[in-house]
Amino acid sequence: MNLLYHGRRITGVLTVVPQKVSNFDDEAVNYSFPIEKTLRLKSLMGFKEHRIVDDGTCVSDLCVYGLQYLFDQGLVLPQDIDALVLVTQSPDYFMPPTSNVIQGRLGLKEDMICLDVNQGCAAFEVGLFIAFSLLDQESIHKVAMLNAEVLSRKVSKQDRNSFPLIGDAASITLVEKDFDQSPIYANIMMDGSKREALMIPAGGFRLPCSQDTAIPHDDGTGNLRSLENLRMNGQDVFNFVMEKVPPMISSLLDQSGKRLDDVNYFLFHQPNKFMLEKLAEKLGVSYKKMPSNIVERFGNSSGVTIPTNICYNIGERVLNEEFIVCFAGFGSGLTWSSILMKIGNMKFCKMIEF
Amino acid sequence: MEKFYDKLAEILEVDSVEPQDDVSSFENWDSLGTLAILAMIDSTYNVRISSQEMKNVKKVKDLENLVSSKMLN
Repeated sequence: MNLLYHGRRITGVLTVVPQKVSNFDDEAVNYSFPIEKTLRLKSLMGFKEHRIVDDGTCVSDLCVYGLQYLFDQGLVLPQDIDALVLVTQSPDYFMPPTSNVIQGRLGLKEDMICLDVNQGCAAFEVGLFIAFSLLDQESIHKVAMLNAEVLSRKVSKQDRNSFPLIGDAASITLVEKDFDQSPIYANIMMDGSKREALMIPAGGFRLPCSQDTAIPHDDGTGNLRSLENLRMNGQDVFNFVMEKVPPMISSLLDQSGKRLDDVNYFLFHQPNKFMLEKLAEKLGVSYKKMPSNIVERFGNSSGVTIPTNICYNIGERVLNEEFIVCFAGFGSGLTWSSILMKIGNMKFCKMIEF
Repeated sequence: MEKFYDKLAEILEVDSVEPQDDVSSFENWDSLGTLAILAMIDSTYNVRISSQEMKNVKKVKDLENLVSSKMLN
Protein backbone atom coordinates (compact mmCIF):
# COMPACT_ATOMS: atom_id res chain seq x y z
CA MET A 1 0.00 0.00 0.00
CA ASN A 2 1.38 3.37 -1.04
CA LEU A 3 1.12 6.36 1.27
CA LEU A 4 1.83 10.03 0.63
CA TYR A 5 2.26 12.91 3.05
CA HIS A 6 3.07 16.60 2.78
CA GLY A 7 4.24 19.27 5.12
CA ARG A 8 5.73 17.22 7.93
CA ARG A 9 9.16 17.24 9.52
CA ILE A 10 11.11 15.44 12.21
CA THR A 11 12.42 18.20 14.47
CA GLY A 12 14.37 16.08 16.96
CA VAL A 13 15.31 12.53 17.95
CA LEU A 14 16.50 11.39 21.36
CA THR A 15 17.53 7.78 21.99
CA VAL A 16 17.79 6.35 25.50
CA VAL A 17 19.89 3.20 26.00
CA PRO A 18 20.42 1.32 29.27
CA GLN A 19 23.84 1.76 30.84
CA LYS A 20 24.29 -1.98 31.36
CA VAL A 21 26.52 -3.50 28.68
CA SER A 22 26.35 -7.25 28.36
CA ASN A 23 28.84 -8.99 26.15
CA PHE A 24 28.65 -12.05 23.96
CA ASP A 25 31.77 -13.75 25.37
CA ASP A 26 30.48 -13.63 28.94
CA GLU A 27 27.08 -14.97 27.91
CA ALA A 28 28.50 -17.85 25.84
CA VAL A 29 28.70 -20.12 28.90
CA ASN A 30 24.90 -20.14 29.16
CA TYR A 31 24.43 -21.83 25.80
CA SER A 32 24.42 -25.58 25.32
CA PHE A 33 26.67 -25.45 22.24
CA PRO A 34 30.40 -26.22 22.14
CA ILE A 35 32.39 -23.01 22.43
CA GLU A 36 33.92 -23.23 18.92
CA LYS A 37 30.45 -23.31 17.39
CA THR A 38 29.37 -20.35 19.48
CA LEU A 39 32.40 -18.35 18.36
CA ARG A 40 31.55 -19.14 14.73
CA LEU A 41 28.15 -17.56 15.38
CA LYS A 42 29.85 -14.49 16.82
CA SER A 43 31.98 -13.95 13.76
CA LEU A 44 29.32 -14.77 11.12
CA MET A 45 26.59 -12.60 12.62
CA GLY A 46 28.75 -9.80 13.98
CA PHE A 47 27.73 -10.02 17.64
CA LYS A 48 29.76 -8.31 20.32
CA GLU A 49 27.83 -6.54 23.05
CA HIS A 50 24.32 -5.27 23.73
CA ARG A 51 22.47 -3.00 26.14
CA ILE A 52 19.85 -4.58 28.37
CA VAL A 53 17.79 -3.24 31.24
CA ASP A 54 17.88 -4.42 34.82
CA ASP A 55 14.98 -6.71 35.59
CA GLY A 56 12.01 -4.60 36.60
CA THR A 57 12.74 -1.68 34.27
CA CYS A 58 9.77 -0.87 32.06
CA VAL A 59 9.19 1.02 28.87
CA SER A 60 7.56 3.93 30.74
CA ASP A 61 10.74 4.28 32.85
CA LEU A 62 12.89 4.75 29.75
CA CYS A 63 10.38 7.11 28.11
CA VAL A 64 9.80 9.25 31.21
CA TYR A 65 13.57 9.55 31.65
CA GLY A 66 14.01 10.67 28.05
CA LEU A 67 11.16 13.17 28.06
CA GLN A 68 12.28 14.61 31.39
CA TYR A 69 15.74 15.08 29.91
CA LEU A 70 14.25 17.06 27.01
CA PHE A 71 12.23 19.20 29.42
CA ASP A 72 15.25 19.83 31.68
CA GLN A 73 17.40 20.83 28.70
CA GLY A 74 14.73 23.25 27.53
CA LEU A 75 14.41 21.40 24.23
CA VAL A 76 10.66 20.86 24.58
CA LEU A 77 8.02 22.49 26.73
CA PRO A 78 5.78 19.89 28.42
CA GLN A 79 2.64 21.84 27.57
CA ASP A 80 3.56 21.83 23.87
CA ILE A 81 3.15 18.07 23.53
CA ASP A 82 -0.28 17.64 21.93
CA ALA A 83 0.00 13.92 21.20
CA LEU A 84 1.95 11.03 22.66
CA VAL A 85 2.13 8.00 20.40
CA LEU A 86 3.92 5.02 21.96
CA VAL A 87 4.76 2.13 19.65
CA THR A 88 5.84 -0.94 21.61
CA GLN A 89 5.42 -4.69 22.01
CA SER A 90 6.45 -4.64 25.68
CA PRO A 91 3.92 -2.42 27.48
CA ASP A 92 3.96 -1.85 31.24
CA TYR A 93 0.43 -3.32 31.57
CA PHE A 94 -2.44 -4.67 29.51
CA MET A 95 -4.41 -1.88 31.13
CA PRO A 96 -4.04 1.14 31.31
CA PRO A 97 -2.21 2.08 28.10
CA THR A 98 1.46 2.80 28.71
CA SER A 99 1.20 6.18 26.96
CA ASN A 100 -1.27 7.17 29.70
CA VAL A 101 1.20 5.92 32.31
CA ILE A 102 3.87 8.18 30.80
CA GLN A 103 1.50 11.14 30.57
CA GLY A 104 0.44 10.66 34.19
CA ARG A 105 3.98 10.27 35.51
CA LEU A 106 5.08 13.48 33.77
CA GLY A 107 1.98 15.47 34.68
CA LEU A 108 1.29 16.41 31.06
CA LYS A 109 -1.87 18.36 30.16
CA GLU A 110 -5.28 16.72 29.95
CA ASP A 111 -5.93 18.41 26.63
CA MET A 112 -4.06 15.87 24.54
CA ILE A 113 -4.25 12.46 22.91
CA CYS A 114 -2.29 9.39 24.06
CA LEU A 115 -2.08 6.26 21.93
CA ASP A 116 -0.46 2.86 22.38
CA VAL A 117 0.29 1.04 19.14
CA ASN A 118 1.52 -2.54 18.92
CA GLN A 119 4.20 -2.84 16.25
CA GLY A 120 7.71 -4.24 16.28
CA CYS A 121 10.41 -3.86 13.71
CA ALA A 122 8.32 -1.46 11.60
CA ALA A 123 7.39 0.63 14.66
CA PHE A 124 9.30 3.73 13.58
CA GLU A 125 7.52 3.88 10.24
CA VAL A 126 4.07 3.11 11.66
CA GLY A 127 4.58 5.65 14.46
CA LEU A 128 5.49 8.30 11.91
CA PHE A 129 2.40 7.54 9.79
CA ILE A 130 0.20 8.06 12.82
CA ALA A 131 2.05 11.23 13.83
CA PHE A 132 1.78 12.60 10.29
CA SER A 133 -1.96 11.94 10.23
CA LEU A 134 -2.61 13.41 13.68
CA LEU A 135 -0.96 16.63 12.53
CA ASP A 136 -3.84 17.09 10.08
CA GLN A 137 -5.70 18.41 13.10
CA GLU A 138 -5.57 22.15 13.70
CA SER A 139 -5.27 21.53 17.41
CA ILE A 140 -2.20 19.30 17.06
CA HIS A 141 1.18 21.00 16.47
CA LYS A 142 3.69 18.77 18.16
CA VAL A 143 3.66 14.97 18.37
CA ALA A 144 6.04 13.01 20.59
CA MET A 145 6.34 9.65 18.82
CA LEU A 146 7.90 7.12 21.18
CA ASN A 147 9.46 3.82 20.24
CA ALA A 148 10.44 1.68 23.21
CA GLU A 149 11.16 -1.94 24.11
CA VAL A 150 12.34 -3.99 27.08
CA LEU A 151 12.17 -7.29 25.20
CA SER A 152 15.35 -8.68 26.78
CA ARG A 153 13.07 -9.48 29.71
CA LYS A 154 11.19 -11.89 27.44
CA VAL A 155 14.19 -13.66 25.92
CA SER A 156 15.63 -16.84 27.45
CA LYS A 157 19.31 -16.50 28.41
CA GLN A 158 19.80 -20.01 27.08
CA ASP A 159 18.45 -19.15 23.65
CA ARG A 160 21.52 -18.58 21.51
CA ASN A 161 19.22 -17.83 18.61
CA SER A 162 17.90 -14.63 20.19
CA PHE A 163 19.69 -13.62 23.37
CA PRO A 164 22.98 -12.42 21.81
CA LEU A 165 21.24 -9.88 19.66
CA ILE A 166 18.37 -8.58 21.78
CA GLY A 167 18.63 -4.99 22.95
CA ASP A 168 16.51 -2.61 25.01
CA ALA A 169 16.07 1.07 24.26
CA ALA A 170 13.61 3.92 23.89
CA SER A 171 13.43 6.90 21.59
CA ILE A 172 11.48 10.12 21.33
CA THR A 173 10.95 11.51 17.84
CA LEU A 174 9.37 14.95 17.65
CA VAL A 175 7.19 15.43 14.60
CA GLU A 176 5.70 18.75 13.54
CA LYS A 177 4.03 20.50 10.63
CA ASP A 178 6.31 22.03 8.01
CA PHE A 179 5.46 24.83 5.62
CA ASP A 180 7.72 23.06 3.12
CA GLN A 181 5.18 20.90 1.33
CA SER A 182 7.62 18.52 -0.39
CA PRO A 183 6.14 15.03 -0.59
CA ILE A 184 7.02 12.22 1.75
CA TYR A 185 6.59 8.87 0.00
CA ALA A 186 5.94 5.70 1.94
CA ASN A 187 4.56 2.21 1.72
CA ILE A 188 3.49 -0.59 4.03
CA MET A 189 2.63 -4.25 3.55
CA MET A 190 1.34 -6.99 5.82
CA ASP A 191 1.47 -10.77 5.84
CA GLY A 192 -0.26 -12.22 8.86
CA SER A 193 -0.14 -15.71 7.39
CA LYS A 194 3.53 -15.84 8.37
CA ARG A 195 2.93 -14.28 11.78
CA GLU A 196 4.47 -17.15 13.75
CA ALA A 197 8.00 -16.45 12.53
CA LEU A 198 8.37 -13.87 15.33
CA MET A 199 6.30 -14.64 18.36
CA ILE A 200 5.85 -14.73 22.14
CA PRO A 201 3.31 -17.59 22.36
CA ALA A 202 2.12 -17.28 25.98
CA GLY A 203 1.05 -14.37 28.17
CA GLY A 204 -1.82 -12.99 26.15
CA PHE A 205 -5.37 -14.27 26.08
CA ARG A 206 -4.85 -17.03 23.50
CA LEU A 207 -2.49 -18.87 25.89
CA PRO A 208 -2.43 -17.30 29.35
CA CYS A 209 0.57 -17.82 31.65
CA SER A 210 0.55 -20.99 33.74
CA GLN A 211 3.07 -23.25 35.47
CA ASP A 212 3.44 -25.14 32.18
CA THR A 213 4.08 -22.09 30.03
CA ALA A 214 7.04 -21.16 32.22
CA ILE A 215 8.95 -24.43 31.67
CA PRO A 216 11.95 -24.13 29.31
CA HIS A 217 12.19 -26.73 26.51
CA ASP A 218 14.84 -27.54 23.96
CA ASP A 219 13.38 -26.57 20.60
CA GLY A 220 15.32 -29.34 18.87
CA THR A 221 18.28 -27.13 17.94
CA GLY A 222 19.87 -26.90 21.38
CA ASN A 223 18.19 -23.63 22.33
CA LEU A 224 16.10 -23.56 25.50
CA ARG A 225 13.05 -21.38 25.87
CA SER A 226 9.59 -21.45 27.42
CA LEU A 227 6.30 -20.48 25.78
CA GLU A 228 6.60 -17.13 27.57
CA ASN A 229 9.84 -16.37 25.75
CA LEU A 230 10.39 -14.69 22.39
CA ARG A 231 10.71 -17.22 19.60
CA MET A 232 12.25 -16.28 16.27
CA ASN A 233 12.64 -18.46 13.20
CA GLY A 234 15.91 -17.03 11.86
CA GLN A 235 15.78 -18.79 8.50
CA ASP A 236 12.20 -17.77 7.76
CA VAL A 237 12.89 -14.18 8.77
CA PHE A 238 15.99 -14.12 6.56
CA ASN A 239 14.00 -15.44 3.60
CA PHE A 240 11.20 -12.94 4.23
CA VAL A 241 13.61 -10.00 4.29
CA MET A 242 15.49 -11.10 1.15
CA GLU A 243 12.26 -11.67 -0.74
CA LYS A 244 10.12 -8.72 0.32
CA VAL A 245 12.41 -5.80 1.12
CA PRO A 246 14.14 -5.26 -2.25
CA PRO A 247 10.85 -4.96 -4.22
CA MET A 248 9.48 -2.66 -1.51
CA ILE A 249 12.42 -0.29 -1.96
CA SER A 250 12.14 -0.41 -5.78
CA SER A 251 8.46 0.39 -5.49
CA LEU A 252 9.18 3.32 -3.17
CA LEU A 253 11.77 4.74 -5.58
CA ASP A 254 9.38 4.31 -8.53
CA GLN A 255 6.61 6.05 -6.62
CA SER A 256 8.87 8.99 -5.83
CA GLY A 257 10.62 9.18 -9.19
CA LYS A 258 13.96 9.02 -7.38
CA ARG A 259 16.91 6.75 -8.09
CA LEU A 260 19.00 4.70 -5.69
CA ASP A 261 21.86 7.21 -6.03
CA ASP A 262 19.64 10.09 -4.95
CA VAL A 263 19.34 8.61 -1.49
CA ASN A 264 22.08 9.73 0.92
CA TYR A 265 21.44 7.10 3.60
CA PHE A 266 19.48 3.89 3.94
CA LEU A 267 18.61 3.89 7.62
CA PHE A 268 17.16 0.45 8.02
CA HIS A 269 15.94 -1.57 10.97
CA GLN A 270 18.91 -3.50 12.38
CA PRO A 271 18.18 -7.22 12.74
CA ASN A 272 21.89 -8.17 12.61
CA LYS A 273 24.95 -7.27 10.57
CA PHE A 274 24.88 -10.43 8.46
CA MET A 275 21.35 -9.85 7.18
CA LEU A 276 21.91 -6.15 6.52
CA GLU A 277 25.07 -6.77 4.50
CA LYS A 278 23.28 -9.39 2.41
CA LEU A 279 20.43 -6.92 1.91
CA ALA A 280 22.82 -4.11 0.94
CA GLU A 281 24.47 -6.40 -1.64
CA LYS A 282 21.10 -7.38 -3.04
CA LEU A 283 19.94 -3.76 -3.29
CA GLY A 284 23.22 -2.62 -4.81
CA VAL A 285 23.83 -0.13 -1.99
CA SER A 286 27.25 0.44 -0.45
CA TYR A 287 27.77 -0.58 3.18
CA LYS A 288 28.70 3.04 3.88
CA LYS A 289 25.26 4.29 2.86
CA MET A 290 23.54 1.52 4.78
CA PRO A 291 24.95 1.35 8.32
CA SER A 292 24.79 -2.06 10.01
CA ASN A 293 26.69 -1.34 13.21
CA ILE A 294 23.90 -1.05 15.75
CA VAL A 295 23.44 -4.68 16.81
CA GLU A 296 27.10 -5.22 17.65
CA ARG A 297 27.07 -2.25 19.99
CA PHE A 298 23.54 -1.91 21.31
CA GLY A 299 21.59 -4.97 20.20
CA ASN A 300 18.39 -5.27 18.21
CA SER A 301 15.74 -3.29 20.09
CA SER A 302 13.10 -3.97 17.43
CA GLY A 303 11.41 -0.68 16.49
CA VAL A 304 13.99 1.44 18.29
CA THR A 305 16.91 0.41 16.08
CA ILE A 306 16.15 3.07 13.48
CA PRO A 307 16.23 6.05 15.86
CA THR A 308 19.36 4.49 17.43
CA ASN A 309 20.81 4.23 13.91
CA ILE A 310 20.06 7.91 13.22
CA CYS A 311 21.45 9.21 16.53
CA TYR A 312 24.54 7.02 16.57
CA ASN A 313 25.59 7.30 12.94
CA ILE A 314 24.52 10.77 11.80
CA GLY A 315 23.39 12.48 15.01
CA GLU A 316 25.88 15.32 14.77
CA ARG A 317 25.39 15.92 11.05
CA VAL A 318 21.59 16.15 11.06
CA LEU A 319 21.75 19.21 13.28
CA ASN A 320 22.99 21.44 10.47
CA GLU A 321 22.78 19.45 7.27
CA GLU A 322 19.92 17.92 5.29
CA PHE A 323 19.78 14.44 3.83
CA ILE A 324 17.45 12.40 1.67
CA VAL A 325 16.98 9.17 3.57
CA CYS A 326 15.15 5.92 3.13
CA PHE A 327 13.85 4.33 6.33
CA ALA A 328 12.78 0.69 6.22
CA GLY A 329 11.41 -1.59 8.90
CA PHE A 330 10.59 -5.29 8.49
CA GLY A 331 9.66 -7.96 11.00
CA SER A 332 6.94 -8.90 13.39
CA GLY A 333 3.45 -9.14 11.94
CA LEU A 334 4.87 -9.82 9.45
CA THR A 335 5.01 -6.15 8.51
CA TRP A 336 7.31 -4.33 6.12
CA SER A 337 7.33 -0.61 5.47
CA SER A 338 9.54 2.12 4.10
CA ILE A 339 9.65 5.92 3.90
CA LEU A 340 11.57 8.28 1.63
CA MET A 341 11.94 11.74 3.13
CA LYS A 342 14.29 14.61 3.88
CA ILE A 343 15.67 14.89 7.38
CA GLY A 344 17.93 17.56 8.79
CA ASN A 345 18.24 20.85 10.61
CA MET A 346 17.07 19.10 13.75
CA LYS A 347 16.91 20.80 17.11
CA PHE A 348 18.52 17.77 18.75
CA CYS A 349 19.65 14.29 17.75
CA LYS A 350 21.53 12.38 20.40
CA MET A 351 21.81 9.37 22.61
CA ILE A 352 21.72 9.32 26.40
CA GLU A 353 22.09 6.52 28.94
CA PHE A 354 19.57 5.36 31.49
CA MET B 1 23.93 -25.35 -11.18
CA GLU B 2 27.67 -25.51 -11.68
CA LYS B 3 29.68 -24.28 -8.71
CA PHE B 4 26.79 -25.28 -6.39
CA TYR B 5 28.82 -28.09 -4.81
CA ASP B 6 31.97 -25.94 -4.68
CA LYS B 7 30.16 -23.18 -2.82
CA LEU B 8 28.67 -25.67 -0.39
CA ALA B 9 32.09 -27.17 0.30
CA GLU B 10 33.42 -23.71 1.11
CA ILE B 11 30.60 -22.94 3.54
CA LEU B 12 30.78 -26.37 5.18
CA GLU B 13 34.58 -26.12 5.40
CA VAL B 14 35.21 -29.50 3.74
CA ASP B 15 37.31 -30.55 0.72
CA SER B 16 34.35 -31.64 -1.33
CA VAL B 17 30.61 -32.18 -1.27
CA GLU B 18 28.94 -34.96 -3.29
CA PRO B 19 25.25 -35.19 -4.27
CA GLN B 20 24.78 -38.46 -2.38
CA ASP B 21 26.28 -37.16 0.88
CA ASP B 22 23.95 -37.19 3.90
CA VAL B 23 23.65 -33.64 5.16
CA SER B 24 23.90 -34.96 8.72
CA SER B 25 27.47 -36.09 7.96
CA PHE B 26 28.70 -32.48 7.87
CA GLU B 27 29.71 -30.99 11.20
CA ASN B 28 28.92 -27.48 9.98
CA TRP B 29 25.44 -28.32 8.68
CA ASP B 30 23.90 -26.67 11.74
CA SER B 31 21.70 -23.61 12.16
CA LEU B 32 24.61 -21.34 11.23
CA GLY B 33 25.75 -23.36 8.29
CA THR B 34 22.24 -23.61 6.89
CA LEU B 35 21.77 -19.83 7.22
CA ALA B 36 24.97 -19.24 5.29
CA ILE B 37 23.76 -21.76 2.68
CA LEU B 38 20.38 -20.02 2.38
CA ALA B 39 22.18 -16.71 1.91
CA MET B 40 24.36 -18.20 -0.82
CA ILE B 41 21.34 -19.70 -2.57
CA ASP B 42 19.50 -16.36 -2.40
CA SER B 43 22.37 -14.32 -3.79
CA THR B 44 23.48 -16.84 -6.42
CA TYR B 45 20.13 -18.19 -7.64
CA ASN B 46 17.65 -15.62 -6.28
CA VAL B 47 15.60 -18.38 -4.71
CA ARG B 48 14.36 -18.85 -1.13
CA ILE B 49 14.27 -22.19 0.70
CA SER B 50 12.08 -22.24 3.81
CA SER B 51 13.15 -23.68 7.15
CA GLN B 52 10.52 -26.40 6.70
CA GLU B 53 11.93 -27.37 3.28
CA MET B 54 15.46 -27.42 4.74
CA LYS B 55 14.33 -29.82 7.48
CA ASN B 56 13.24 -32.30 4.79
CA VAL B 57 16.60 -32.25 3.01
CA LYS B 58 18.39 -35.55 3.72
CA LYS B 59 20.95 -35.77 0.94
CA VAL B 60 22.67 -32.79 -0.67
CA LYS B 61 21.04 -33.75 -3.98
CA ASP B 62 17.63 -32.99 -2.36
CA LEU B 63 18.74 -29.40 -1.88
CA GLU B 64 20.05 -29.10 -5.43
CA ASN B 65 16.71 -30.38 -6.74
CA LEU B 66 14.78 -27.91 -4.58
CA VAL B 67 16.82 -25.01 -5.87
CA SER B 68 16.56 -26.09 -9.54
CA SER B 69 12.80 -26.56 -9.30
CA LYS B 70 12.34 -23.11 -7.78
CA MET B 71 14.49 -21.54 -10.48
CA LEU B 72 12.14 -22.85 -13.14
CA ASN B 73 9.20 -20.97 -11.62
